[in-house]
Amino acid sequence: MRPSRQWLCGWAEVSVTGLRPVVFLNRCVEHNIPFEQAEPMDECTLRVFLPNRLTAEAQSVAGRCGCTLEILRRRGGQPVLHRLRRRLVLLVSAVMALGLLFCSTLFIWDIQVADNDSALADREILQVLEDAGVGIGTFWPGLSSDMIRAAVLSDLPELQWLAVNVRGSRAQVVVRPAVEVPPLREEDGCVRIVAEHSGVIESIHVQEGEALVGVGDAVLAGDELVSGLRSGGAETFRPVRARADVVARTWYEFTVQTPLERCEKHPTGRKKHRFALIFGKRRINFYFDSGILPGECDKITRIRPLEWEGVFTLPLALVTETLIPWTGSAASWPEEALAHAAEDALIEALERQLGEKGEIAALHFDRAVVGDMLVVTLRCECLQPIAREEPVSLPTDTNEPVEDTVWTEPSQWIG
Amino acid sequence: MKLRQTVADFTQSLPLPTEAVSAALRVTVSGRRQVMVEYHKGLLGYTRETVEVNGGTTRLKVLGRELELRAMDRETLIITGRIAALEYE
Repeated sequence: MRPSRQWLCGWAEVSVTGLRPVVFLNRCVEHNIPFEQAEPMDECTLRVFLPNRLTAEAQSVAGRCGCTLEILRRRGGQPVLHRLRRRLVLLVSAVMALGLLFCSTLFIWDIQVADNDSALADREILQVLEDAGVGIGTFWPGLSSDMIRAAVLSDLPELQWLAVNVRGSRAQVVVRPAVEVPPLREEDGCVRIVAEHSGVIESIHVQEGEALVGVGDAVLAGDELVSGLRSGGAETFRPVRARADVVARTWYEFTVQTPLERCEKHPTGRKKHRFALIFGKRRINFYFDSGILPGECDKITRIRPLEWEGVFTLPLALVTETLIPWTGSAASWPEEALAHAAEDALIEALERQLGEKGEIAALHFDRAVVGDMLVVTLRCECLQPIAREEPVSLPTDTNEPVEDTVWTEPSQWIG
Repeated sequence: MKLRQTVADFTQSLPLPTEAVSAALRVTVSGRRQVMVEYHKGLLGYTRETVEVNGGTTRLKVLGRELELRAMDRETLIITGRIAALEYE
């Protein structure tokens, strides 16, 4: 019998005394009285554990074997209930506590967002859920998944799917971000290609429009690379949507400054603890001047909800705040380590600038100490696409469709 | 005795597992801490040093120290403690 089950059923520890107490054990087996941990105390006495409900039957069996059975102690749930019968108030209180515990599991006391890969913050999702009627203290058996999903997804188009799983008063909100639909390419209109960055053209492949620059030409950011007007012959031009892949050799210079001395924290060794209780949405602080921290100090907050993981959660949590005061002092950092950190930051900034298609052809770092600052400069040569589409505003004094309009002079369109 | 011997010889000649055709004691010793006896016919004696098990035609004596009858039912009994030896009589 497992200990927990044994405890719930109740068991009795008995001693059996007689000339041959072992006969009692054989008789118990014959009468289907299970026993455990039989232990001889001496030649005439055995100590054995029996189920509580079978002690009377065991007593008669012992009598028939010429033994005497004495109950040493009773333990377990059944004897406890038996004793509580005399203490009615305690029994009623225990039953009420169990009832309240059961009722409390029908309400949501903790709500968390899991696996949130969307651009939305957890707080925003929880706010919309609360507006939809799902929050702390909500009676969850009355909730409808479809209603919640419909209400939340209509307010949050960034989400594609949402589910609220409730387990032991704890609601877990699982969300999936909506897949962004790529913008459709407009084939109408007049678009030209301009340079996004200054550089020297390395290659140019025009799919639509007329190239205005060639390989080896130097261009500045904003210069027109491919025209949005295509020559139609006889000094006529047709507006087109220019498309081209233009790769240029570009140069960048980034500089970062970092102080050689930094402030280091030294804990004073004194700690201060503050306590609070969270009951539902209300917080009761057991201290004054709640928002004011005493000087320079770190605050570590620990919230311990009253719960049995996966079974129930009560709307009660103990908050422990530990304040650790510290004093700051200037400390010099090794120049090499600072320089490496700065170089890493510069390369990261450069990669952000180049994007996925750009590549670094050559790079060089310079270091200099100016006063109490370390100055690190990155100079690099890169190869990157620089084509950027730019729509062109066309004159609106014509009623004809754009694709059917033939322009006689390029000066009629404005970049 | 002769009839019993004949029956025993016959059952042994059958192409069947011995435990399927005889009600002999089956003893399983786990390390030196536990002995499980199946198909017993009851206990004959029980002290901290000796547990005597009735096996019908034979008697099994478990010798050791701090022996304890952990559990027992109609078919099986489990003895724990520091097992020193098993004797058949």
